[in-house]
Amino acid sequence: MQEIDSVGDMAQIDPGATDAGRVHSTGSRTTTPRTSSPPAIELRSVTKTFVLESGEELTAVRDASLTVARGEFVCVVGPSGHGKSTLLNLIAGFIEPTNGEISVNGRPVEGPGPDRGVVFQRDTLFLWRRVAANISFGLEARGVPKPERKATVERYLKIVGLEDFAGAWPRQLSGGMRRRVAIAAVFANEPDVFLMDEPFVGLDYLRRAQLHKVLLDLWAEGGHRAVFMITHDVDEALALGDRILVVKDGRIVEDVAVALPRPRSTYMITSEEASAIRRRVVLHFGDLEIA
Amino acid sequence: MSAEAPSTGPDTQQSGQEGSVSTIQDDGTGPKRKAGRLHPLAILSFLTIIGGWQTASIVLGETVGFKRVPGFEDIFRAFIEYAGYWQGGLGAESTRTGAEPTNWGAALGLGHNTFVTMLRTIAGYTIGVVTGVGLGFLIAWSKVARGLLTFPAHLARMMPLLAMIPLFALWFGDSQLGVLTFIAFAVGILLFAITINAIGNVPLHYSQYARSLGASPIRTYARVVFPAAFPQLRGGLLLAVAFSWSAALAAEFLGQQVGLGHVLQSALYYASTDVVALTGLVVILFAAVTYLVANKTLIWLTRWAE
Repeated sequence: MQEIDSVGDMAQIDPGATDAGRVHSTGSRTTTPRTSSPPAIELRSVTKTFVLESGEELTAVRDASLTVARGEFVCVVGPSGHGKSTLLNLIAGFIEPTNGEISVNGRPVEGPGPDRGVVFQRDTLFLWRRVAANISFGLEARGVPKPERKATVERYLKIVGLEDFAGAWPRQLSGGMRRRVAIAAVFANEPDVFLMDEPFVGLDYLRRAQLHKVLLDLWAEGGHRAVFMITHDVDEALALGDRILVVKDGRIVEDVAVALPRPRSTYMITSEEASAIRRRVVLHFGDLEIA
Repeated sequence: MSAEAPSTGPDTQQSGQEGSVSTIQDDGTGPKRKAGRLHPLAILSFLTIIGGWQTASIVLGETVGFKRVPGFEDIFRAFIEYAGYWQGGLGAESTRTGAEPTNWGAALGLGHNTFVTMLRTIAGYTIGVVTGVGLGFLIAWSKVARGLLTFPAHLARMMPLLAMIPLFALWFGDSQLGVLTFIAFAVGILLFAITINAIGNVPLHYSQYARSLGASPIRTYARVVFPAAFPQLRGGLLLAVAFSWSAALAAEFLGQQVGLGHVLQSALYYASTDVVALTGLVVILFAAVTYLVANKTLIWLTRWAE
């Protein structure tokens, strides 16, 4: 694995804490939590190589090691096509690593499972199920009794502000509303880990801000389970994340703590402290000539 | 959170019809269309066909009591010939006993033969849909089924359907089973290929999403892959309606003693082109009705689709 840049201010997150005081400078390259329970996500020297139709090999993830503590909100940024989604797909169990090991809550990942809820970049709502039925899909699949299912669906519809749209078809909703349903459906299933692949792509600034609040409300509602979210927007990562990982050329090249208190305002994510993190992250993309 | 506008605009309204939970009511039409109004060019093309047919009838005329193209007056007069296809009863004697043909007997003859053909068509279509779609899903699901059935199924698809009629005649004789099997075969082979294609086009992320929510492979297939593929089956299911009528008529040539195919066979034997033409019009009418019913049903079943 490529060496991570200087991490003098890299922090270790105390799971469950929600304020800036929980961030401890360690001066260490490792981010292993100090809890006795296994981490929410653990990758040990994971490599994923695809064999193309031409017979050539393409290594999308190279020797990635990572620990995400329970309750931690990790944002992953990096250029397109550099392995972020492959990393997420590996954790989700959609693909198997060529080398290395992946575990979630101490259990090895062997295919997809309800312990890892995935919010995709693409619209995954089941168009043939109404909004409430979409949210209850996972609950039905896991055999949750109907009264409990109904109560859970109503609770999550309320959290995402769509209680009046329980009987609507997905096609009748706007893009932002569909995103809210997709996120609610995953959170209602109460997985241990949330994997999100650019869930707010294509939405305008205001809609994103609204959905950030929805996401954080759901995160709080779910007892602050671990979130692993891919985004192209560094400001989004600053607004949401406890940590920001930078993935480039299939390697995790940066792992920086975001020691900003919550809830975070626009002022906070434009503060000097946030700007320093932003600079540190975006410089990995190269010193681009903007104009 | 501020309200976001649902995407469908005019067809999205608040309603309190379902208990305390308001739902969106959607008429599913989007921009209003002028339903039921024919395009002027469609009327023109229809009139051209009518005019062309009648002109051909006049130009070609009659040769030794045989009209290659019967005029419309001949076609409507041919209605009485259906009395010969009534077995007797319900107040109309069979012409085979020497009774005079009557309009009532003709109506009963037409109704009976049409009813029998329609029943065969619907039954064969249903069996064909279940078999073809089922086989397609089975092959897409199971590696073993794929290995065992893909080659023979594609081989059967390549066979010229009409050339198979004698084979079915040899296998099944003039039995009902032969007719139903032939219609089901024609429909099933068509839908088998369409089903495999439809399943192949279901986005992978649907299955991944379902699995990540805890759905078993079987539940994912039944509750996600099947409904996701269904809109793509719609065209094939409609095409198969018309196909099943053709197959039914062709199958009734296999020595059936009742049915519109039998009527056609007898009419061709006696060179009664007027009866053939009238039977053709009846088939068009009923095929159109079944097509419209199937289309409305499928539109309702896929009312959720974008």
